[in-house]
Amino acid sequence: MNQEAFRQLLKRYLDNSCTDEERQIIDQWYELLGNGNMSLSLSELNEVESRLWNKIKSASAEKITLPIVRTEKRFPWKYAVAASFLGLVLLASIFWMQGTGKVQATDTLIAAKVTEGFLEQSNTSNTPKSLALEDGSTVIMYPGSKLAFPKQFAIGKREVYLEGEAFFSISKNPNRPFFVYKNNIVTQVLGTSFDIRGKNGQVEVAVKTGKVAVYENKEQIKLNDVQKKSNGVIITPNQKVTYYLQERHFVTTIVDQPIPVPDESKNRETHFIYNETPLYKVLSDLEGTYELEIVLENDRIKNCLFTGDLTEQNLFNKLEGICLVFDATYEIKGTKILLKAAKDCLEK
Amino acid sequence: MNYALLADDVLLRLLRISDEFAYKEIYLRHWRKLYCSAVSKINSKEVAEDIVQSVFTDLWDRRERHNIDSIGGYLETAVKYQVINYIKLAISRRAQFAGFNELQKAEENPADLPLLVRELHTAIDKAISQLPTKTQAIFRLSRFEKQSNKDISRTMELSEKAVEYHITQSLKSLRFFLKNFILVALPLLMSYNFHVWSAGTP
Repeated sequence: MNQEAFRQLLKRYLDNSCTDEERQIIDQWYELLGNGNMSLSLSELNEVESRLWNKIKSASAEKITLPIVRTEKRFPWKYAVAASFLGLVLLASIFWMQGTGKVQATDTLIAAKVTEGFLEQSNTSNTPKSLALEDGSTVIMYPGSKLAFPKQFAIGKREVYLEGEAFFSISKNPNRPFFVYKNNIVTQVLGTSFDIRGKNGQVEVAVKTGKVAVYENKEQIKLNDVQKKSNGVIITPNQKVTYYLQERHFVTTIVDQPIPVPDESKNRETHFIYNETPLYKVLSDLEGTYELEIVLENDRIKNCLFTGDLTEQNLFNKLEGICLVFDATYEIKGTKILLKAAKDCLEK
Repeated sequence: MNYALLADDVLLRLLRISDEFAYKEIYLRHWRKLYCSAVSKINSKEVAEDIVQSVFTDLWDRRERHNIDSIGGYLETAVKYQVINYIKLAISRRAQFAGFNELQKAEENPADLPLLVRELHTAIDKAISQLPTKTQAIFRLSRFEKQSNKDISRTMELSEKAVEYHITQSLKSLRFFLKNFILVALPLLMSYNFHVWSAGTP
């Protein structure tokens, strides 16, 4: 082989000046490259893992301080402090519109808290404004919003009072849960990410990952004993709760557009390509991906075979595809999906 | 908080705000695959280590500006560019070692590039066509279309183990047929002395 020409070809590949055909051939050649048999022992790999990390740390322009510790069973104290400064858990974005009627405005609450020594920040500009809290959390306050927060959060919990709309980036600390008070609703961050929006007289909380608890603020609203016991809901990914301010009523259902819940274990299906696959298996893939429960009204189509590619569709279109094949229908019952089949499997 | 439980895209967002824990988790998740692939391709643990190091250092240096969709794909491509660059350097160095004189260089005319490309193309196609039909199909899906063994096992209605077997076999056989092309780069003569090249965004 002509070595010089080959070198030129590699150079063009790296410069991004090669043709598509040349690129393809180098890609293929690269895939084939290698001797296939590797003699790397596990202990050797472990050694490389920490040595390499140390090298990376010292080579990075800005110092990285973390040592290599594969599992931190107990989060060491100093890391916890570091973590709280780094600011974790994302995307608690909170939008509210003013409720109507007798609902207590947070405004007066904020005023009350300020007399107790809380600090107050308002955003009177017409651009979002970022605010850092003592625990490492940040709040992006949208125009017209107001937030009351303590200079130093209490030991056992972190509480803020919001008027208007804001986006919260909350540093995770299980020992100090984070509460957002707005009107007579409390949103407590139990897990990771969620959205809060509002329409007239309603507050809607939808969860992307983790868990969020939403409940009435008993300091704002008088609860009887029954209400105290069953106040509020906990919602999980792809579920949402709507709270009706006037009726003081929580309704849980499925979000309008369920999205695959980020996979923690990495074992999850990302492709939905089926070839004569029993329906129950298809449904269990969907349940796993969206973390929602799908119930078959009866077992008559459970073992029917499904063939098709549902990868690209969103959850509801996937379900429609399935229904079309089996002459079935689906409906959303609360936070579950109910699949009803009129007939047994169609003869093929 | 256990970072091992976070999805890749969450880690990427945390990386943008300089979260060292997220960075470390990305390293732990990906370094091994990158390192092993580099070692197997260039046959040098030292160089592979340097390549992986520079890819991760570079990731940290550009953390606030990164615009990465898939961290796995990004890192793989970054390593690929470095490996190819290394091989390119190895070729020119080997030419020097071998004492290629100007005359030989002139003989190896870079204008032969289209010829070389055709040559490579033919060699790869020919090598693949030597494989049994099923193995060919599996190999193409795996290596050129980048499908996972799991996906392939489903489309081909085979166990994952069988898919793995087909791929190993085909690599073995292809490497045999393509010896002249894929061994070109083995840095047998190279003393280790190589400047790490920054990958840029592939």
